[in-house]
Amino acid sequence: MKGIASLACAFIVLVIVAVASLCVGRYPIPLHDCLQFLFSFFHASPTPSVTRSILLQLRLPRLEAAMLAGAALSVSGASYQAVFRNPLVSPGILGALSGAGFGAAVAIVLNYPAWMVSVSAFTGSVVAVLAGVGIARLSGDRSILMLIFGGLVSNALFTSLLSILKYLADPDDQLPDIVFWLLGTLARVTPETLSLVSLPMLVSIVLLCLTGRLLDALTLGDDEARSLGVPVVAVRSVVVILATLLSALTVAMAGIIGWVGLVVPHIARLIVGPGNRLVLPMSALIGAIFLLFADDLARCLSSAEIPIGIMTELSGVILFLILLPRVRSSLKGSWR
Amino acid sequence: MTLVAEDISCRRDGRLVLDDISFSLPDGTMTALLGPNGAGKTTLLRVILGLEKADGRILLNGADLSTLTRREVARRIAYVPQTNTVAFAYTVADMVAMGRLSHARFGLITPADDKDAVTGALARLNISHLADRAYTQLSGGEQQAVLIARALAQGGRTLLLDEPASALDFGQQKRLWAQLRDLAEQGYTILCTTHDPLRAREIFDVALLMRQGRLVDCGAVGSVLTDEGIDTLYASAHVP
Repeated sequence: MKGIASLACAFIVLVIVAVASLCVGRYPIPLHDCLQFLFSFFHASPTPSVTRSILLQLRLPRLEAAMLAGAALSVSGASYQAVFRNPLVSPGILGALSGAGFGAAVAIVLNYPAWMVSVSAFTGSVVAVLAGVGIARLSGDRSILMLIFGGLVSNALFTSLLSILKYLADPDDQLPDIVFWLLGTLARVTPETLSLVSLPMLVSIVLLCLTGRLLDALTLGDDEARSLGVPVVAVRSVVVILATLLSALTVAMAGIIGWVGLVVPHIARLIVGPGNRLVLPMSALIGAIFLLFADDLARCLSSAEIPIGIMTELSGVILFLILLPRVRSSLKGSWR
Repeated sequence: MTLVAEDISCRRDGRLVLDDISFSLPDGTMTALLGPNGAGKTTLLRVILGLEKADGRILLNGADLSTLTRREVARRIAYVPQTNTVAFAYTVADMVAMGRLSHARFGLITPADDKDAVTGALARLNISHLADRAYTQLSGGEQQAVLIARALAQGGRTLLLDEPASALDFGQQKRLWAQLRDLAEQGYTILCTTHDPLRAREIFDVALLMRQGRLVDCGAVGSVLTDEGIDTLYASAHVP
């Protein structure tokens, strides 16, 4: 009951932060107008046309993108941490982020349009994870250690390929584009992109949230999980596929947004304990709140928008340092 | 319920690690699996659990375990590992509840009797007061009791334990053996690897003696674990 109450509280905070995010920005909108606009979905009420178009065309898609990306990265991070039995793992462990960076850089160097950059980033992300898993399989060993090794090699490979592209890119035109893309931003998310990625992301988040009890067993080790009746390889494969899909879609949509997948699951564990049945949905809610907050800062702190990747890393580091004593005590006696 | 092994042989990297092992354990017996390091004791437990492939058959109450799904096996046989490193500080109640996974539909939906099974298992091991404590912060003896409670929560009547006393002090060992004895009296079939033949002689009913992958002797502890039998079992392991 305590866990359900915590989830309900987090949901209420998310709603409050979401409404506040609609109000803030370079064109501040009064709370009254925002609420009027939101209620106009249910019954016709007059909202000033400028306010309406800002909310409908700019802030709502951005709000949705921030919540989806935050929830996706956090659930993906929490799932990876359970699968790899390591609370310091983040969604990039199998090469998803470096692959996406390389994929995006290829499209930028070839002067492809923006939507192709997203498609190429998604493809790069999936290819890098497949390469990591493939390298692990070469050994004939299906252990976690070999999977980490495969991810390490894949990460190194795609990071070096990205460096080659940066070296070859036009320093006046393409290189800044690559660097800016790698910093991550929600500014280029369009309603069309959102309509493409929303459903698979939501479905993946919900499916992963349902696997909590199985993930708990996986954290005990393969043999122990099998002896409890868990089909380890099948569950691990499904979880890795869904978590990779979430990271890849997020990166394709918004570029590389670091630290969310690492920090947020820890905050969730501090609130609801280590059981993944509650950690995963709580991570989704806190991730959405965290990214909304980071995006608000990115939009409001200066006249030019700050890339959100910088904001999440800065605020993530500060948050982690503040929480470190409690994280340490919650991990005491477990992971060394 | 009887646990029967028929002609079990297992190869690892081309090397024969279990060689034609057969035995039968009636229900309610407490059996010690003894032998020097590398004799194949843990491998035999893994084969019974279906964690390692082997030739031959394992029958439980007449049912061939190789024909059952992993969930069906988990509902019949529970495994208590020697030690386990847990990455996250789950509560004791959470740890024991994991024993109910094989009863959940697709691992997701919890059956109504789960809570009763968990509280019942905690009560049987006298550790109900630990339910909300973090498993990782318990003593070795308490952790071992939690793992046995989890095994009971699985609902089967056969328990396989891999050197459960190896990390326990004398008092904790005494309590552990008493708990296992109690379970055997209630009809549980217990197969337990141990490195302590003298203690095994006092507590267990049956002993299986293994050396270099072979079952060298099997029978009531009084007849098998004689001073001479123990000397032969362990001394010969060092002969080149």
